[in-house]
Amino acid sequence: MTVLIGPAGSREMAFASIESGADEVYVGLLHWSLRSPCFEMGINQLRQVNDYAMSRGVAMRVALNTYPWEDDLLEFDREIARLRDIGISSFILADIGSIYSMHKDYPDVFIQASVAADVRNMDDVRAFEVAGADSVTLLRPAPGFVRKVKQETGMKVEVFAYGYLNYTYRARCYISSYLRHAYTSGPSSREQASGSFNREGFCNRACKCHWTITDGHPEVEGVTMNSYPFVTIADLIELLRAGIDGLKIQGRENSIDVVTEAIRLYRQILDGYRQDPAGFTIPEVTAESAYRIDRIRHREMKSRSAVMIREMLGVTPDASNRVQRNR
Amino acid sequence: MRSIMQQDFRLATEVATIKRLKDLDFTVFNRVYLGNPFCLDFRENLLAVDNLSEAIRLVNDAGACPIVSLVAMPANDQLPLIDELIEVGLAAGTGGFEAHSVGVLHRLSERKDVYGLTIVAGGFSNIYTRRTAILYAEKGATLLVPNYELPWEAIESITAANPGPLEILIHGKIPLGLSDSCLLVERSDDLGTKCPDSCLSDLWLEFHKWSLKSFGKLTSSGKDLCLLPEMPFFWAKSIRNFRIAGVAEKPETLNEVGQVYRDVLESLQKSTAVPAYIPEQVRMASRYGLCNGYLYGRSGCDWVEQHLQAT
Repeated sequence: MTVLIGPAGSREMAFASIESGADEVYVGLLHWSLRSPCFEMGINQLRQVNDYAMSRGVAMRVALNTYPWEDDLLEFDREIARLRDIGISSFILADIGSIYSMHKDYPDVFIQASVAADVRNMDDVRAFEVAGADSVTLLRPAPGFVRKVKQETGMKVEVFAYGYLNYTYRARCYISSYLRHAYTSGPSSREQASGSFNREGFCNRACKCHWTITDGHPEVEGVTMNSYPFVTIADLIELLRAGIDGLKIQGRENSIDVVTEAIRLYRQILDGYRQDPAGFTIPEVTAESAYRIDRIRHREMKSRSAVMIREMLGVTPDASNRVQRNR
Repeated sequence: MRSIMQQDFRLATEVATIKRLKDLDFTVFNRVYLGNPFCLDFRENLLAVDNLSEAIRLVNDAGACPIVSLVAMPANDQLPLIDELIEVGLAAGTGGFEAHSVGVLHRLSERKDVYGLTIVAGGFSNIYTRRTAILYAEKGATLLVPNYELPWEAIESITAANPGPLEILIHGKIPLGLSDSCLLVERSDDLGTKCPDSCLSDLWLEFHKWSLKSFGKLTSSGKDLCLLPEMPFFWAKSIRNFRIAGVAEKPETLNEVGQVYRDVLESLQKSTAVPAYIPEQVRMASRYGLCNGYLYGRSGCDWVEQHLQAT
């Protein structure tokens, strides 16, 4: 059975995801989940969401999918211990060293290799399985790839309902920190490294800037490093038949309206498929809704990117200094 | 020809084609990474296999160590090529292989026939902590390239865990991003050049005060990383493996810049004084100037006159 996994960029979004039909929700732990702190949660909020989710029979998983640095390891271990203390047993990690370490310390927990783990082929899947991951997140995989993972490994597979194929591979991009990188003391004991996507998720979105290709004289102006939005809807039936275990709705940074609409739509699809796997087709009107939701989401992301670029250029204050409202 | 066998350091660079390899000065470099692992479309890329055996022989004959740089982030349909490169490399007598992804490293770890060779976990393999370094070492990596973003303190913490020797990128364009596509190819109609000629043209990306180099499916820094002033510090810290980024460079530039570093390393080996300035030819080799990279915990493109102090 394919579960529907909804985002929880805030407590309100978590509740809305659950009410809209998500089987699971994912939450980013404050400072550890590749998002701005205002889309993450501290332990107290996280506990409230977990309690609510449990009362509704919904599972929760927590993302700590930054690439921790050496100085972070002690704090990383403490955070994991705290999360275990409040009953969290499902995690999203990207760094294979962290996965390996967590699996050794807590062999019973469920570990999802994040999309930021950049799993691109069967060898990657096997490497993460050996390290202790239970599941991988694949970005727009071919159904054959999913089938092969299911047949040849013990790994679960999750895919995104929609998202972006960025110009650069997710965790293999240091352009942002090359251009602007600063350490700031945040409210946590952990020093924040704004600009480093892998460490903080504070990507400056340099790929969305208007670059000029030049050989000394401008040759082409207004060049952006294009990312390609995708909606899985056209391939979804094949992916379901291939045996995907989870369908993930992106959107911790999006508005609650967009997220809830997306969850309701994909809930309908998964329920329809479950009733008649052989005969189910996605109605055209449903596909159109999926594309419309993605367009709205795309607009929201563009305006967020504009904010990040202004911050990089020093036009507006750095996001890393914002009040941590979710603590 | 200078003996390079008695030196207890390795100065490495990267060469993508047989033509460039023939112009490389092996009295300067004693480890050579073969192929452009970031873009298989690169003209005459050694990873197209045809010339790989000859390249390995050339490097071996020169008394240096050839390392086959395997496709950095392969898709499923490129895994057979990885196997082929390993087979060709082994048959030709390669000194080792470089892997940038955990999957390729995993594939190497399952082959007994690579035991005893140098297995390099490359800069894109995201070694941020000792945990990942130790995991890779357990998988058979014998030389580890820490992530380019790391400041010295983090690199030193990794060395403290003793996962094996580290190789530090000390000069050249910092690899900053890998892609499925190439900006220059996307804009080939506007530019009037097509792949595989586009990335051989003198084309750069500029925005605001920043510059980047789009080199096939690799985006790298516009400025050249230069850690020449830190060589005595690295030496004092027992770092002995160094790399000059070479995939995007002409051999004459590599030879000239590499010679400066080699002279410094030989002086350090002999415990003689090294110059405290950056020679003009190093500065002149870079169109957009020099940067310190991430070593001091600043933006990668910054340049500050600062030195780490060995205690």
